[in-house]
Amino acid sequence: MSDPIFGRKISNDRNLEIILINDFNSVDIRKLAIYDALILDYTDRDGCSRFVRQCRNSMIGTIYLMPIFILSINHEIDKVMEAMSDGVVSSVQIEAIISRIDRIRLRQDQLVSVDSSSPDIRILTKAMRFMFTRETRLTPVVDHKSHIGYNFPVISDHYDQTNLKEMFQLFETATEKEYFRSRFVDKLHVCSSCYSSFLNFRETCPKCESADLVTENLIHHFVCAYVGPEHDFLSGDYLVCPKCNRMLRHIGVDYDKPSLIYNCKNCSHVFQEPVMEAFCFVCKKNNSIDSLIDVPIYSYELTPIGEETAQNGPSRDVAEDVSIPGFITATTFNIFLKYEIERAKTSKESAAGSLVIRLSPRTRENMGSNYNRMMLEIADFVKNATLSTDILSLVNSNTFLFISPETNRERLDGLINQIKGSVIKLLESSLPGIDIEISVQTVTIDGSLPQNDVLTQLIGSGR
Amino acid sequence: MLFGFWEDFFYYIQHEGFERIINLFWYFFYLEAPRFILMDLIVLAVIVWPSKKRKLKYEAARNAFFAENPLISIIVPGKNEGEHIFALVTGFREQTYSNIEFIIVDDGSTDDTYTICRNLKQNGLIDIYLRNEERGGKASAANLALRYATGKYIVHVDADTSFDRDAIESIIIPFYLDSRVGAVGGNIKVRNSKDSILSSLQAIEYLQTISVGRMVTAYLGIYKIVSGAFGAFRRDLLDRLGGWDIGPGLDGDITVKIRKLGFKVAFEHRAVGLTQVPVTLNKLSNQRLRWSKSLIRFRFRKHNDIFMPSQAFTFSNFFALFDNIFYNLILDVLWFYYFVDLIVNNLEFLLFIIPLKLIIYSVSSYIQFFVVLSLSERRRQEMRLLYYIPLMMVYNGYYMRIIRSMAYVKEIFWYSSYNDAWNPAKSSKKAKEFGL
Repeated sequence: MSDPIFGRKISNDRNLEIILINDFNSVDIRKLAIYDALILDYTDRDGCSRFVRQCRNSMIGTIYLMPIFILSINHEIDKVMEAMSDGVVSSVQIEAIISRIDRIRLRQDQLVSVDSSSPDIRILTKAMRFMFTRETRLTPVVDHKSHIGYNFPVISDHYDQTNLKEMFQLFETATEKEYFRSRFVDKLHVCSSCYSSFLNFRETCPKCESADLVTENLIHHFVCAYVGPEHDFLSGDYLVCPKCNRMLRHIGVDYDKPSLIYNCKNCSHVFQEPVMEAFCFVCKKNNSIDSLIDVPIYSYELTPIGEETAQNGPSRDVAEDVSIPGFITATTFNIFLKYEIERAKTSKESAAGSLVIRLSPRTRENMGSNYNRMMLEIADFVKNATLSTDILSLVNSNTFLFISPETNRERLDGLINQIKGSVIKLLESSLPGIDIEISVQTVTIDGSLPQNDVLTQLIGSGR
Repeated sequence: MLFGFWEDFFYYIQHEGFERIINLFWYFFYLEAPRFILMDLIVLAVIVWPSKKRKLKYEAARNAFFAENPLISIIVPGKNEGEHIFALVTGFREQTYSNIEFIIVDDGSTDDTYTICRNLKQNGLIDIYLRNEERGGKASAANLALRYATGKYIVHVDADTSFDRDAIESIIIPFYLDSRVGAVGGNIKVRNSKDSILSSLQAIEYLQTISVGRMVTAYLGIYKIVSGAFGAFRRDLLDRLGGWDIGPGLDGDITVKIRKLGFKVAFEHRAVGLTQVPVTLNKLSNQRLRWSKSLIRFRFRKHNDIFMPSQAFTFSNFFALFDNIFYNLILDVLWFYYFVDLIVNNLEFLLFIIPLKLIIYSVSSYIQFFVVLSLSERRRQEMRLLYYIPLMMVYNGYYMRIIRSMAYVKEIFWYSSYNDAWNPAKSSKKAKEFGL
């Protein structure tokens, strides 16, 4: 390859195209796809940060999945930047990062190109692919610049700060579809109007809503039963009862402080329970505490279904399995699987299986929209080849899952392999020379394996 | 045989003669009847005698009150009164007078008072709700309410009392009838009179001693207790006095203090509040022991200066307390002598004396009760109490007398009111130390 356009090429034994960039203004990110990895000089902090964001916010796979490392000798790296990059290096000695680049590139090669006009699906695919190629969780990073106080690297920037609700809905959908498995991180209380967590919690007067309150202890003088605020008793440094003029010497013996009282300086209202309000600095709304929205923050990891979907994409036409008669959604399949595992503990064992159809990325690209039609035909074939008691699901664009209640594993294994043979024959006859790989997995459901392990065996081990 | 008894009975009366019978029951005819029947009848005749002038004066006072439209602070100090609060607060919304502020002081309740009051406050039915986690006693709770009350008049009510629609209006008008009135007592009747025989007897007792008794004493200027369940006070006077002192009997104590300031204390029989009375003997006895002890503690000890010649001495104050002490404490002692004397000297005629006594007391009770009914605004409901009148001799004559005497002995010799759990120990200890 010729000399790099934007920066200095870092030579390496593997002849990987790795460049070091320190002048970010001259870089056209569209031309970065030719490189294997980038090392960014963090000396220009703002420029570097802007550049990383630009790359990761791109919707072009080769750009947003580009391995990016940050070169920083003395600087402390912004945590969001660190999470968006693939690592921080203190020198251009790149041996340490070569294996990481290889790993990312290897997994990147397994991705099939996916076209979707739906922004949600494109962002979800992007999130899953980033997680898949990095073999990492999507973990929120504390970020004071974010309205909710957390940043989901690579994803948050796609959403308007005042409309983060949509982002959480996307995560929720992905979890429901069993692409993601969540782990609790934090719980936020956000503004009911703009979803911001930049709130000022303040005590206000229940009558006039003013926050200009003063608090004072009440004093109860035992001897004469006079009760009043502390200032009634103050006489210089001493406490003297305004009713009987006796000096209060000893708390617990002469007097006690039974409670606290609030006085509103605006309207003089007296009360003991101020109204808590949360003022939103972003949209200026005064939220009552009850109206704040509780938002649980999770980190996410890909499930086996999620990994499969990351590679082949959640095709809207095919993966929306409710649209295919006889097939249930991934969520419903999981519920059935859970009940089947519980049932099998006390009753006859069952079997579950998977049939994963993998085309090479190039073949898939060549097929275009014919791919969806092919999958629908295969689905029809699968439905006809199975018993009406079998539970079927097409969990993403290329994975069929089966549960055969009260059936032994051998029967199901035989059945799915029979389907596999027929599908290969069918495809080879209609598409001669097709590059196809079909893997079949089956597992016995006897109650000994939990649901996640069953799914991992069915999908996770097939790769 | 029964006929024979009555024949002998009437023969006995005929034989003894009217004069001898009066002498036999001297305690009743010379001490009780003149005070509780004759005097009541005379005074009531004067009070209820139709007077156009009085009616016009009352109308003028009412108009002046409504024209001024002063803020009235209703204060409700209490502990564990959760079950009554909602009815109390919503009941007040029915009042004919509406410029009121509602202050509830929760004196360390452990029931659901907090939840209920919080809810009522959020809905704007209570103006101020104050809660002391640490119980301070009823006086301190009332004083806390007073400290933050802003009304010209303070109406102290008990949470378990409910009120006629015009009760607030009626209890305030006396302040406009006479500017020297410092406090007005409300007319307390029994709401749960049907709960038990005991509550029916208390209903009769309340009608006799409060509804009628206090009308008489107020007219004579010797009315000495504005009931804590329903009483109105001029706020400036309460501020001068620093509010209530430690009870039990704090309502009687504050009334005496207002009298000592030189102000009149009025009773308004048209301001009716209905209260819940104890239905079991045990609870009633405890309540009355507590009330009776306060006679010794406050009238006899704390306010004994009323009997001393001093600059502040007034005959009305002297007679107010003297009447109280004479008819309760001194006559109680005398009664035991009378009782023993009656039995010992008439042992062979006891069979006739007992029914005779019952007849005399029942007749006198009926006379009193008919007077009550003639004045009552709800006589139809109260008519059923007529059946219980004969039992009043036992209730008043024996049961109450014994309870009173026990309380006096306990208080005189052992200062037992200072050990009453009604007040927290920390307050009672200090009150005892300073002789309050």
